[in-house]
Amino acid sequence: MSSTMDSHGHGSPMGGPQRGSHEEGFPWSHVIGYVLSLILTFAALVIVENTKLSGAAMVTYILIFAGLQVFVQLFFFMHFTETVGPRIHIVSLSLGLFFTMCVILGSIWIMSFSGHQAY
Amino acid sequence: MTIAHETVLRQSHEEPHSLEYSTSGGRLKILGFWMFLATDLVLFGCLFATYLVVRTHAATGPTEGQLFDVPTFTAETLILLTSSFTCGLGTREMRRGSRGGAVSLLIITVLLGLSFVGLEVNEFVKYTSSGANVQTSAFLSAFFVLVGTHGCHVSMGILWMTSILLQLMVKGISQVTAPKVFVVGLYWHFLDVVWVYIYTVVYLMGVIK
Repeated sequence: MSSTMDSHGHGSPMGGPQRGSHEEGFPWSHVIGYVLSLILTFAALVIVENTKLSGAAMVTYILIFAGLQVFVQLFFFMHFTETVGPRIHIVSLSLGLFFTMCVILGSIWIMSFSGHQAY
Repeated sequence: MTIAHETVLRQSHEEPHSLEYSTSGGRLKILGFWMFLATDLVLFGCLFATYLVVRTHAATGPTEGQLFDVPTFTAETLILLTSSFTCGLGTREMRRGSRGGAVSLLIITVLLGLSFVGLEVNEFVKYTSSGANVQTSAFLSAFFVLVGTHGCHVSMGILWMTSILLQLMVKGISQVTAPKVFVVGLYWHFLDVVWVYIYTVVYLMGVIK
């Protein structure tokens, strides 16, 4: 196993790229992540309930907000970039996401040929 | 590269990591769990694809707009977001070596999870008692299966987290229990991610006029 993939960590005794300062004192990163997720949730709700945008524009905005929420969870709560050795988990999760998007977008695309409804 | 150099690199790289990464078993469990999450993502992807394809097929039953209640699904979302936050803090307390902190935050997480499941069961009972069953239409079949599968995951998560919680109370934070706490946290955050998409794709897109 090569632990040299991530070479910027060595050299200093506190050289951990992802850890060290986060675990002491006030949990700022968690609070920021929580506040961001609340803001994104309410922003999506306000767009749907209180604006006069077109349906397609609303869907675009709320899907962008949902995508940002995933990044908040991954980076503020799930320690996504943290690993010992090669980052295999990022590869496997990316592959899972690729299959997921293929299934979802492929299904919508192929069903749109019936012409009976708009997705 | 010499063996000595390799050893130095390894130590300096691993040193900043916490207890859950300190054994090869712990590291493998965390990696394996990420792989499980990737496959679980594909499972939910298939359910979302089904839902998106049939969501307008309400037959004689109610449509999305007639069924969904904004305060209910917003409350469910806020509860789950908050539980994800307390779970993250629980993992942080575990890393700081505070058993009491970790245990109490995980208890709060489990209680929030229970109230989420309670709200969802209540919502389902309301729908079915008004005649909107899983057999009523393609839309409702896909809805109950997608949201129900997520609710089932949360219920399993509650049982799992409770058992980790008890283990933590009895055995304390060790090389054995630390990876378990971390992994159950990953699971909980993942369920929050899936819910964010249920909130967006099922509920919010459903109430767009």
